[in-house]
Amino acid sequence: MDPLHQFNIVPIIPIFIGTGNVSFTNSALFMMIAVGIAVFLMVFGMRKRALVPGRWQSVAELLYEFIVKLVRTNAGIDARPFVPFVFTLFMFLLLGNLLGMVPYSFTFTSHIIVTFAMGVTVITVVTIVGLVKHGFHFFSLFMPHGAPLLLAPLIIPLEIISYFMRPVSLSVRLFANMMAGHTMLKVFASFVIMLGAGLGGVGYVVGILPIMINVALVAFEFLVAIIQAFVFTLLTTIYLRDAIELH
Amino acid sequence: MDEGKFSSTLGDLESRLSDAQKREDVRKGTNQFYSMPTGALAIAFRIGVEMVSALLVGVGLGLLIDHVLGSAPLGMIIMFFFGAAAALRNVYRTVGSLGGSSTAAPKE
Repeated sequence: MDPLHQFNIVPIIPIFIGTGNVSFTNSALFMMIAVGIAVFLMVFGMRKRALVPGRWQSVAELLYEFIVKLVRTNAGIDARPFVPFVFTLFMFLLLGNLLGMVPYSFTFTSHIIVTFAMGVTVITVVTIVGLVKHGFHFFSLFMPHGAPLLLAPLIIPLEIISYFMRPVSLSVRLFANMMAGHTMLKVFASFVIMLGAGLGGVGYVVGILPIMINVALVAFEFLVAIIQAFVFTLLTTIYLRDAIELH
Repeated sequence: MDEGKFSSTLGDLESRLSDAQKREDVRKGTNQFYSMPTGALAIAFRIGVEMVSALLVGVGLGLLIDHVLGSAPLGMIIMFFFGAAAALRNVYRTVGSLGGSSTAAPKE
């Protein structure tokens, strides 16, 4: 009854290249399922291209328009070329988080290496955008306007740390939320078994309490799954604006 | 042109002007429809993450400097303090951007 057992990575098809282990794992499987659902939803949903959208087309359009609006309001009109990037990011995270809510499934966003890789990707894209758009002027991000020159040796390291902090805080936020939530679900669920095994008949009656908490937690986890996907996307658009506008 | 028709056109113009202004704001990205969650727990979590990650990055950079220059443990010690300073400054900035108080820090 180890509540962390659900996060174990299990190789499904072991693949070894030299000394490297590139096995196809349950994590990879669920990532592919997430991508598959996203592609299916978009391709199947937009298949009819009706003027008056049907149910599936509405879902696809709502999701897409939500991201377009998010990018436009937070990153400005110049960020339009990045809508596909942000949309892909959002769908992958949203489906990853929600797939984790299916019993017996695996939550790949609860692994920091997955979220960290995504955070690093976002920051790399943002940095390249900033460098291409502003050249060396981009590094003025590290020295705020109006700060006295005397403080530069203090402020520049701080700003550099703050900049490198972005992928870390992005990934830690998502991973910690998902992992904590799923662990909590498992812990409360195991209370029921423990009460039943320890106290017998009385335990089964008292066991209703943790079940009630678990019902509330499941609802809360759905909320967290959607909000954390949204927050990750929102912060991506804010970083994009920083790189495009460069205050 | 009678009075009623005139004022209705003016009102129409006003609503069209405000619509255009709204569109312009959206185009420039100056008004934000979406913002971070503002529940107490969400804010507490955000601040916690910010502190921890700044410290992590500071120590990480310090260890990297030590590894490259062979200056262990000096790099880590110095960068730890920079990381802590960055962490506190980020918390200050986050809390300031929440608004609601006259002592709020200016938005970055």
